[in-house]
Amino acid sequence: MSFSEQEVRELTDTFPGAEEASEGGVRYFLLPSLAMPEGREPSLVDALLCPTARDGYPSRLFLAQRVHGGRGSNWNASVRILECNWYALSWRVNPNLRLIQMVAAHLEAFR
Amino acid sequence: MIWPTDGRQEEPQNSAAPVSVMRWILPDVPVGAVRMRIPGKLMTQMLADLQRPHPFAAERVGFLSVGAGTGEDGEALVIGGEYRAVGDHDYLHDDDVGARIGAEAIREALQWALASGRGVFHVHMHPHRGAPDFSFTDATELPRLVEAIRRGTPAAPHGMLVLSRDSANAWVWTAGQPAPCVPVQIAIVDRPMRLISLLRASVHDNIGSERYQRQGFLGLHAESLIGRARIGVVGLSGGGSHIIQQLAHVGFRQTRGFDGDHVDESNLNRLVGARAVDASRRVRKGNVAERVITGVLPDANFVGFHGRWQENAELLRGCDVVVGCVDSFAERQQLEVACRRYAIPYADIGMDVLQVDHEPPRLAGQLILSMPDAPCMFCLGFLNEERLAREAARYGAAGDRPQVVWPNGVLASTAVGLVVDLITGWSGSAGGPVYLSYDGNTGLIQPHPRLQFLGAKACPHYGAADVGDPILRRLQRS
Repeated sequence: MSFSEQEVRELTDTFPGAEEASEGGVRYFLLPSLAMPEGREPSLVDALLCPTARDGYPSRLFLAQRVHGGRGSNWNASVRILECNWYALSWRVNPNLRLIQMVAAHLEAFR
Repeated sequence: MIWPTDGRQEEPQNSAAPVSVMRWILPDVPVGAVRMRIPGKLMTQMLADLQRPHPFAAERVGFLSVGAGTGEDGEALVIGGEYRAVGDHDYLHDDDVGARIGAEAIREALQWALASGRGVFHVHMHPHRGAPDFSFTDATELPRLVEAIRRGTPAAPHGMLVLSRDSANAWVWTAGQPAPCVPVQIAIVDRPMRLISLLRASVHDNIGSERYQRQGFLGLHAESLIGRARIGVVGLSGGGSHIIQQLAHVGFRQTRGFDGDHVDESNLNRLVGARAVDASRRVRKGNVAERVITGVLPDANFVGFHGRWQENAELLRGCDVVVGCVDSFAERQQLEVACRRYAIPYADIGMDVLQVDHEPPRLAGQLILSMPDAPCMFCLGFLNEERLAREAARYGAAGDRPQVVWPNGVLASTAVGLVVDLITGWSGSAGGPVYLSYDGNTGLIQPHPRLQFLGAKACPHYGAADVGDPILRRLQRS
């Protein structure tokens, strides 16, 4: 799946330190120190967006640490991607979203 | 085929080579805590290129892009990724040396390192058999070239690699180290593997010992190769306990085991080496493995990790071969990714019992060998998004799948046979993908039918450039 340059730019404008890499034929976006909704612990956490289908989800947002509080509570993924360990909630978002919308939709799980 | 893969393995190591006069003149470069791995197809490509005659130069030169990593106890890993030949027009006339290349070729190598963020090695070949040494000219001139590349990308390992027809030697400059070292081992990751020890005085414990007299058919140097190869086993229960036990009997002394579980009563139907008292005392499965291994090989070097391998990935990366005996597809996927990155052959075994309506249960299993630069488990159709999604819907748990001792034993024995062949090459088997299916109801093991539809296309999932630690690309803002 390819994303338009504009979509990627929207992502980097919002998350200036964003990086990308591929592994096993899958493209990932690293969002360093992603701010969690207020009151969540930790408040900043590195995140990895997998914008394509994975594990039965249309997209997934992996976090470097489990974040406490919020609507989502079912942490069902503990995986190693790009030589780091990541955790993800069971949280399904609309498959037809732009990259920046995907991040926002995944963050809803922590509100 | 230039790189010999037929027949039993000779042991191409420097200790067996005639001592050249140059060794007394060359600077004394010590052996350091570095392991180098080069996938077999890449080695074949390099040898084919370097043996082409040049219009006037006596030798050819190329550059090898490498990935970096950290293995066990901080050992540096250097993983061969891609090779670029130096173009014919980039050679200079110089009768005093085998090959002299111009500034443009060197500039391209520098740029390759800068653009990729990876290390770059100067590569050339001495067209003989046995361990190659750097010549006096190599040893005095090439470090200056390496130094130039290092200045641009000091965080990556760089160096110089010399190949012979069946062996290799290298000087490696790792990040932050002012002087080069010779790697402990250069592994050519092929079928069979070539574990080239660069220790001048290799330790050959029990060579020709009585213990192994019945397995002499494995080859003259098999005992030494087996004793030196570092095998990782992930999952030390049903399948892994058989693997560990058999590896010890065969003579594998360097074993690494991963399992975060304790023995309980429900394991006793299949965990080889476990005792009833282990269940009541909740002994770690790693401790059972250690007891089994050291019971056979008291001086074995077993390192067990009580936890998920992901929490000690360095220990896994340091292995020459990894055998996975895990329950879930997601675990298999992650293991394969890690092994591909660090050019480690990955052998996967697993079994399941399927029940359809009122039919008798069907006992099925598989053995897959995933080699770098060969079809992966996605290519083989064993892993797919649907399977992973179904598993994730069960919250990643494989559940209490039925497990019995005998199919685990069959699959584990077959896997150990594969590992022994990989290390020694005793069977002379040709390469090619290994995907065996086991029918536990009939006792048959045969090539999986999917193999015939595989074709010859390269694996699209793992690129040659994606080796070593991942390098992320910073995205530009508008």
